[in-house]
Amino acid sequence: MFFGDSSAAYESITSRMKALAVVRPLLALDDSPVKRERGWEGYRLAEVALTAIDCVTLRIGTRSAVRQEVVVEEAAESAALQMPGRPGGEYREVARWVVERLINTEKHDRCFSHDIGSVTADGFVVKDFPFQILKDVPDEAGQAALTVTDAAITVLVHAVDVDIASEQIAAEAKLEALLKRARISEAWQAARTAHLQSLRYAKELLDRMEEMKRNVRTIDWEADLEGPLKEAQDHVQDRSRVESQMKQQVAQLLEVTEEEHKRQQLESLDALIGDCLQRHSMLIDMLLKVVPEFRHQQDRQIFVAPVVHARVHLRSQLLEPALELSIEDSQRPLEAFVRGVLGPVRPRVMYLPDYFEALMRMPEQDDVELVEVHALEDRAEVPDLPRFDEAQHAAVDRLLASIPGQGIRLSQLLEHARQWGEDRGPDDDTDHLLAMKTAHRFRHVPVAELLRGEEAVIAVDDGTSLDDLAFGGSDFLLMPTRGEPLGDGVNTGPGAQPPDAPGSGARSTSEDLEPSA
Amino acid sequence: MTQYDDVAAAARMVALAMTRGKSPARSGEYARLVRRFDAEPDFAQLVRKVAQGFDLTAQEAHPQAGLILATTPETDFAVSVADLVPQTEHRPLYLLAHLAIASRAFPRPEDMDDDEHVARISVHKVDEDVRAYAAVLERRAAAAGEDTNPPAGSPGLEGLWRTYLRRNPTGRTDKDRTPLSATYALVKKAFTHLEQRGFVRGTSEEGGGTYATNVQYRLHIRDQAAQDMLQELAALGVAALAHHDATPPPGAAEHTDSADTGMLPDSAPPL
Repeated sequence: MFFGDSSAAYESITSRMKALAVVRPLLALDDSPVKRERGWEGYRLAEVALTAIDCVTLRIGTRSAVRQEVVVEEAAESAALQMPGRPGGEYREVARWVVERLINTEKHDRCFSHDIGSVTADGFVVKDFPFQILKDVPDEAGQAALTVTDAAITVLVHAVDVDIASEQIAAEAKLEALLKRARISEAWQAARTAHLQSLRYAKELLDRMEEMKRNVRTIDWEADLEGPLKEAQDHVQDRSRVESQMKQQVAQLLEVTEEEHKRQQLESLDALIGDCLQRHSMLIDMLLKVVPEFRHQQDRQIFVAPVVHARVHLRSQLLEPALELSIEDSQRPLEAFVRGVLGPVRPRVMYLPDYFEALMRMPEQDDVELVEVHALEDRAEVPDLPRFDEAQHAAVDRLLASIPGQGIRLSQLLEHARQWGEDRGPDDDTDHLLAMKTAHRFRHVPVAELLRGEEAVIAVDDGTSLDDLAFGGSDFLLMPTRGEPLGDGVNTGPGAQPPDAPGSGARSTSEDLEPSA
Repeated sequence: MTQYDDVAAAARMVALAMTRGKSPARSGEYARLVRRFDAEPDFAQLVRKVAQGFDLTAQEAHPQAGLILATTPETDFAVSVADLVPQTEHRPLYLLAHLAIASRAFPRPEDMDDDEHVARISVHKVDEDVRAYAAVLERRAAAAGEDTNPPAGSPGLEGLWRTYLRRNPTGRTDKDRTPLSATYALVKKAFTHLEQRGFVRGTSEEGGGTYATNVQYRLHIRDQAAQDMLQELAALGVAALAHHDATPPPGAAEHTDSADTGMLPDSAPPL
């Protein structure tokens, strides 16, 4: 069958294969092992993908690109529709995965590819056909956003390589006929097709304008712009006329139709036609912009000197040499790079609200280990441990009680206290307690006990100084004394107060107590 | 009177360029100024002079990114690296992470001239890139029998690649958090700073965090960062020609060339 002019005949096969190839990445989504691994069996992923493509196509009319989050959000809604009752986060995860597969983020060049045969002058050859579906581009503010390729629009409108203008006319005629016969659901379909055709015009114009911005020299005004502009102008004129008519027809039908179902359909058709009309005004707006834009780009690109910069291969000229440098040497070049990347910043001038902000700011997670703040301990709840335990008190009391009648020197008692056995060694501080109690007895003569006629130990300073490693002061003489009960005499007891005792009482008490070491 | 208005307009343009998140596409005033910059050489000169007063250089006016300003060594408006990373021990690798991100985003020099170029880069891939070349250097040093240990007492003489290899990509502290010393954490920190300043935008959490670059980031690297660093390297006597390493190691050639030249153009032919 290809014996005559085989290359011409095969061209149609090549072109249809290309169309089929574009469908493949979508269908492959549902065969992906990821679907099973992540438990997404219930979702129809190819259909989620179509929603995403629809979303981008319908929105790029108003601007050149759409933020990825917007697309993911809309695709997630379609996922939610398919599988109600799943956790909300899953829909978004499914949608993000589908959108990223459509961008083909796994491949470095982002291209899908398919081998397609064609017949050329050299005979049959198989060539790689690369294509993209969704594409990362900078939006009007230079931020990353998504746009849809021509290939994807073709998949979407399921019309393979046809003349757009003629299909447009066919769609209109069909729509009008259907409206006359009031077959509204079919009319809605036809209106939608016409609507998508308008979108293709808009996309074509946008592409031309983008191309113009990149390099105005590639555009030949007469060949590339004048013809398409004229065509698009005619299209807008015709469509506006036809759609205004249809809108009237729909309005008339709405007046006479009482059936609720049909009324709803008519209303949605009315909305769709309204949207078409709005889109046309946008197209007109774009048409008006093309000529000034062309001039502006000419000014910018042809008459403005391009920025002079040497092309630098970042990896082989900067990264690899830097890695070979020592830490010290690499500092200046790397700092220069980072300063350049981050560009100028506005210095922050400190003013009052800044203090507030600075105080309220959470420390950056990476820098600071967050430590749990404990409630401040209530002092009242902290147990107040005694300086000396009961055993020490008992030991000192026993020592004092065992003082012989003729009295004993403090130095001897200290020795005893330090030698004390019974699970306390010479190193513990029972001697401190003893010294303290002795000083106390010197300062506060146990008058009450003496007056009652009880025996009490008193401390007497006879001027002998203490020779001890830990304590300084007087080597007190400790002796038990019994006072006469009150009434027999005011005198507290014989020999109770040596004559020099009051004088030595003027000594600093702290001196007696303070360890000398 | 008009000449004073022009000065005000030129200063306004510089002010807009210094403000984060301003774009000619979103501000009619900015768009008009960008047009004037393109169309009126006198006005463009005025803008350059205003920038010069701040010790800045006006590089170009881009229809999407607006006026691109570059810092000079004298300016007070440059970012202080010490503020970005207070810990000196992490600083060299943090700075390296910035360079590695850029080299991953623009694998070919022509990518920096492509107005449509948008790169998606993940933390893990950036780390992988650096680690791969560091490993090549390690093998080369081992083959040459070099002593790679820095002289005692001067850790600053250690090779950057060796410092990188000594760090783990990830790690766990007792509190189950990745420590900053891990290279993933350092790369992530660089990305976070870029995102805060509006140069990249997070797209997903895959690969330790994936980010898409924008036009301004590309222009900053093309117009200033790459040139400045090249000069600093030249001052050290290090000058590598693109694609022609002085002595390309066997493994490195594969990384630099084949992966890059094998790439297809960004746009697919229409069906």
